[in-house]
Amino acid sequence: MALPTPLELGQLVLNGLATGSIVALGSVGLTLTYGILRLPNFAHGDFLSLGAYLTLAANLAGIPLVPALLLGIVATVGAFLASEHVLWRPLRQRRATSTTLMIISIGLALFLRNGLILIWGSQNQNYRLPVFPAIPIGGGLTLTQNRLIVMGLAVLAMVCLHALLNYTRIGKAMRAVADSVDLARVSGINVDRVVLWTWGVAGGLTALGGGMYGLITAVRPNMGWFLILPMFATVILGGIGNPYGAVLGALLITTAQEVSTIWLPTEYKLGVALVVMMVMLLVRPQGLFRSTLS
Amino acid sequence: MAPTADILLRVEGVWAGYLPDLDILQGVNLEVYRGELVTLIGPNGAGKSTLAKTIFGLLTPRQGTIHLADEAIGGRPPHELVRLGMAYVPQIANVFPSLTVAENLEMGAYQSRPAGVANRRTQIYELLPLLGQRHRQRAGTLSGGERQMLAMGRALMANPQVLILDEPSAALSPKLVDEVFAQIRAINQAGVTIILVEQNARKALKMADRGYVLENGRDRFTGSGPSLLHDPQVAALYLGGRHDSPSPEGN
Repeated sequence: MALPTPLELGQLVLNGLATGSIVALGSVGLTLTYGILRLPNFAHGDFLSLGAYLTLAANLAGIPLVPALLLGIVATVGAFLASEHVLWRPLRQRRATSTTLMIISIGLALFLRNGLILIWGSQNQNYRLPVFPAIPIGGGLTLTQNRLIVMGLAVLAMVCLHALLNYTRIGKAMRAVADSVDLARVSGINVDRVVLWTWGVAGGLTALGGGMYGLITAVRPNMGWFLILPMFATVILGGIGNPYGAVLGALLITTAQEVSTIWLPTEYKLGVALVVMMVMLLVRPQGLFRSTLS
Repeated sequence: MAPTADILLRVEGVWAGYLPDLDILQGVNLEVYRGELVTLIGPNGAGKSTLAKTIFGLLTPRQGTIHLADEAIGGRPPHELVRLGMAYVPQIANVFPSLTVAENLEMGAYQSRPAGVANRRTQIYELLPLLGQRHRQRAGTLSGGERQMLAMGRALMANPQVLILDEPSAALSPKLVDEVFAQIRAINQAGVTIILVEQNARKALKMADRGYVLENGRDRFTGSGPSLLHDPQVAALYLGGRHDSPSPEGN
């Protein structure tokens, strides 16, 4: 087995961390909706793609990247809320089981992905951006400017999320609903409003992840679908409903995926996430960290 | 004994249940005066907890009416009842385990103005000092008795007129039951009207102003705590024989 040089290894870890920040944003969205709404949403990855496409559409219409990202986020949150209104709320009221919800979410995933192909075609597309050289960050390691932006924005988003969950009324209510919907209702918390906020926060983070994923890879219809497996692996690794666990899980899994390319062909990256998830389910099914689902 | 003749809560001829064709409550009546501590006792399946849930809007009466003062509240959702001055402590899952003690209390006053929340929390810490000592601890790490106190503290945060407690002594050791009952007494003396659902009938009747004995979804006997405690029929049926014998405990 070929041993990597420290430089090679460092570069792969660095690339893993950049992709990891995107998976982290998507996974935090997934773990919040899973933990708070009890919804294993397989369409989550395709919403991430939608975020990228909406950002792309705005960018190609001549809007600079950052405002385009914001537009993409707002429109994707709208799509998440529409799915809540049309699908998830009526299904919850009929007391659908989580298996039913999961299967319906797979249907929604197919619907979204084919909708993207219908509107934007199946070819790879890129944002209209100037090309920057990679930036040396010391020790022979380099990072593209885009990857730096991605990591910076992801950290900023996580800090905001942490503040929201711990220091605001609605954030604490979100955690309370994740703990116990019944007790939240009995306490006088308006659970329906908390649900909408959850979609807003989860959708915003996911769309941001999607928009930024388009910065470091091509925008293509299945970009999010291929992330759904690492995202679920991450959510399980970090404890369902635990956003901090999801961030750490995402960084671990994507870094493991990148480093695996030293020994394995790149096509096996997804398999690495799957193996991590399977080992986790066998050894510690409750996740590395505390889950809100008991 | 009612301090005034002022009826705060009145349940009249209420029928309710969980399944479409199965009525647990079958025409139950209940009257609670302002400031009273009223206990609901009776055998398992008599409908004690179901009545508590129906009063708090978790079940909708199929027949009959529920009034809080002059307002009809039957079937109103819990968050509206909280606004009207009612609070409820469920028997199980009555704290948010991943939230701290302070955050649990804050959730109890979710509808109040933020400025009032801190003041109210200080008052709760005075009433239940243990919560003050543990305010940064996660509720999931508290013991059974501490959780029960936190659950009551959370319910008191909204400054309710009426507090409904569903079997607060369930799963507690006898010593803790006494502590929890002492707290209930203190809360009542602070002016909160209390409806206490209890398995621990003897202890509950000793403390209560009045009691209702429920059977098959109806109010079978009612009277002051001591009178029910010494009623031979009630004693024979629900207190496990002679009134000085140990009370039947738990589920």
